Amino acid sequence: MYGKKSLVFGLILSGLPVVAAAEQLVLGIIGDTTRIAYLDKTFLQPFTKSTGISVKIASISENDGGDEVELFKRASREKWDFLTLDEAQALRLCAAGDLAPTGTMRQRQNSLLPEISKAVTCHSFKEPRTETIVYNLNAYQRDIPDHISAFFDLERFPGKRAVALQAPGLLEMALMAQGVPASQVYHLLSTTRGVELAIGVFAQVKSQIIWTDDHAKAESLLADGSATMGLIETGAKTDGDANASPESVQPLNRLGATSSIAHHTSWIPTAAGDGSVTALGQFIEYAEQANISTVQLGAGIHRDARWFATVSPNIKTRLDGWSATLQ
Amino acid sequence: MSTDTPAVPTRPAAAMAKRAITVLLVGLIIGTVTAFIAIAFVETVLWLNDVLLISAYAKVQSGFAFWQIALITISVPALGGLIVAWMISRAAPTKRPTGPPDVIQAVQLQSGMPDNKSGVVTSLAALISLGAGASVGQYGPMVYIGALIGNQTKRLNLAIPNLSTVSIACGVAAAIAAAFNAPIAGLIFAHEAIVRHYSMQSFAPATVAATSGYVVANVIFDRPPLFLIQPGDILQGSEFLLFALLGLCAAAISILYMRTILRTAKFARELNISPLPRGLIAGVGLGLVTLWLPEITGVGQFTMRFATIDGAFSAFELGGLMLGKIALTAFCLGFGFVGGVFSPALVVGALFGGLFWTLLSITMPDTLSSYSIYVICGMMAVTSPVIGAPLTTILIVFELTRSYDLAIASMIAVVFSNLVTYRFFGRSLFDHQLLMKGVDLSQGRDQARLSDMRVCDYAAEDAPIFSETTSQQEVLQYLRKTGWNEAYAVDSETQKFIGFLRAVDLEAGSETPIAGKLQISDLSFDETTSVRQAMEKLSSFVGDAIPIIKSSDGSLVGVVTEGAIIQSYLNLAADLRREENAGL
Repeated sequence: MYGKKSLVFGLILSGLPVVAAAEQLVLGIIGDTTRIAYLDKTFLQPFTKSTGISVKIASISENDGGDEVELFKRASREKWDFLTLDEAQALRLCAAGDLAPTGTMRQRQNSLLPEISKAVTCHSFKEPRTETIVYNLNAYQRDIPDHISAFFDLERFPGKRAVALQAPGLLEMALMAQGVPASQVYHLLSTTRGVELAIGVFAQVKSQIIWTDDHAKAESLLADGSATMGLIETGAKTDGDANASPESVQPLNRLGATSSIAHHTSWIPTAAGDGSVTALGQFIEYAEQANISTVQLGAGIHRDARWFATVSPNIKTRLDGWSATLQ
Repeated sequence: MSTDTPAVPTRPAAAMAKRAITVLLVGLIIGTVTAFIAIAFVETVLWLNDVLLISAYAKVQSGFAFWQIALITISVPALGGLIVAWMISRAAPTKRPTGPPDVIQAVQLQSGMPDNKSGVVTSLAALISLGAGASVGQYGPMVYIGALIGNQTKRLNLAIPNLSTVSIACGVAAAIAAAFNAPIAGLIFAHEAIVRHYSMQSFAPATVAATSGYVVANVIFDRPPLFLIQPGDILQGSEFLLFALLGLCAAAISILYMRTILRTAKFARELNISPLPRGLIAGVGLGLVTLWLPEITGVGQFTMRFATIDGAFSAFELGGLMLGKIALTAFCLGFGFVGGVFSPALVVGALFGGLFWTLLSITMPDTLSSYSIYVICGMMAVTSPVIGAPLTTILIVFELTRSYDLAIASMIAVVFSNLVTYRFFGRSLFDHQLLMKGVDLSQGRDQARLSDMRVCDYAAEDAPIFSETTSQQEVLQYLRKTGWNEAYAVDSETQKFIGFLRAVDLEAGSETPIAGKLQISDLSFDETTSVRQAMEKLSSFVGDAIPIIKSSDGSLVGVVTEGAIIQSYLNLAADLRREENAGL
């Protein structure tokens, strides 16, 4: 049914690079400097080089009280073209009607961009991200940590743990450290007993956790040796890259194959931006085809965003409130 | 010196190779097919649990209000109970669920599996039972499905001796290998619990089948193992005494579990409720329990997962859930749901092991090995007597944990548990159920097979049987002609047996009827007498043959000679030896 439209769309995309050359798209993002730098290097710069369309990142920081509601408001107010949301948040906003497209978007979806029309149902292209527990090779040279349970074992593996305040997946990791296979983690977290158990496991290392404002700071603590283990947002880092970042002075290694929690960030067209239909279409197409992240999940688990978006209030409250309990 | 070279028997070698390849291929095909179906079975159960809002995950996902969840929680099992009851009572020719005891009986007595339709209906009924959240096991149905698939080779007419037994062993081995990610345990289970010997003829293809099952489950589908633990080391040698104690206590739990199942089933039968209302009672009861104690319903994989984690349950919860699981499993099986006893036993055992460690840790803090070691030992010590496979359970532990220490600890617990259970209950629940059907495997397969053989099948074809009005001369002539020394007399009108007579008592040439010469027989059999019973009675018998008298009307079925009975035993013994020592 989209055959003719796709053909027209394709012709536009291939025939109008010059028209789009002067354009700039604005991508709204909540994130730390590490992630922005990673995205810029691995995706945005190649996109600009390929299409001539520049992409400006408008970020807001959680440190300044920024949240996804704020991001959403600013995206509308300042006419950003895309914003990134945690997928669960995106689905919640969609269910609440907050992501309903504007009149401009409706007009677009009826014309050339079937992809954007999917935004009505909150479809978006996604950026896979991974949180992985890493450890400092210098700290554990004899008894090498080889399982996620090492993170929770202060007796065998003493030392500080650096964890970002907003890091997702800690409850899941606490259960996986107890031998729960990835496929069963969310079944157990569906019960009060499972959530309480996970919180209890995490509480065992509570005294040794250094909570940081973002992943970049957690990573810097690992790099300077202030922490011996930590949770870092990987992007490109865990793929065979034992040394987490070039600026690290401490060699970091991934903690076994079960320490990864992958999740998606949704990239959603706002319908409020000033970008042309062509530029938006090119960006979407490039993003959907590009290999944004080379993360290989291995035996870790993929966070089921739909589950988080639809959990009943009592469980959701528990899950949402876990960080307060743990800190 | 002769230059002749003996001819090389190429044909037999080629035939042997062909047969070996055929048998191994049979193992490969049965193993692969069984593994796919077994995994599909498990996945369908999980899917049904989600779709029917049985699992906690699905309930949370649904976002329904509490009253809606409560309504569904009761109505789904109720409907499931009704459907299962209807299937078994109306659609299964056997009018009862089939299961591992039928497989054991078929293999041990060479009596053939129940009909395919009953097997399929039972498997579907088990699927619905598990899908509706009944506290029954999934491994029993999987074992039966494996046996059912293996049994289909009888249609192939491959002219291979014992092929039925070999194929069933392959199916069973693959089912267990796929279920537990444990090919060695699957192989051993098939021989320890089902075949009960280790001939190369069944061992080789069953190895292929078990490996196929493992590859399908572990490599192709990457199925999660039953438990994932890091047990650590056994801290002190003296703890092995505690494992023995755990085994002894586990035996009591195991016996309680099996007796509760049997007595509840008997109680349910004695209530004389027709199948459909009984299924409804089972379903509604299950639903009500699910509202209150969801941990004890279903296969129990998540409860078992919790039970392997220290601190997930308090001691009170461990004890309460253990007893609750036993009661609910017995209720579900007794009142009409269909399924196995293996999975609930694993859950009961895990809870027991956790309770044992928790209680010990109060009196012996900081001196015990890890919690999970005791959980695994408890799990296997309770389960192994239920399925009658101690070696299998030890191997499951070894294959899943790769821990030599834990395997030894489990071995101690399992052996002590089986010692006690064997003494006070029997080899397994399956064997006990067979015993209640009259199949006694406790004295070995030869004795069981003898018990299954009827003497009437060995009655002499040329037996000298006459009516009481026959003349002595006629009878004497027949006896001299056939070499018999005795004749047997029946009433000319009713055909009832009225006595026997000896040739030496008859008068040559006499036309007098034999009625006056009859003697009362000291020993007689009926149509139900087994060869085993006959052999026990023969010790004091002197004479040609023993009359077989129909119990319902006293008519003479035939007579069986002592020699025929002994020959039947010798033939059986030869058959068994051949089977047990058969190569490929």
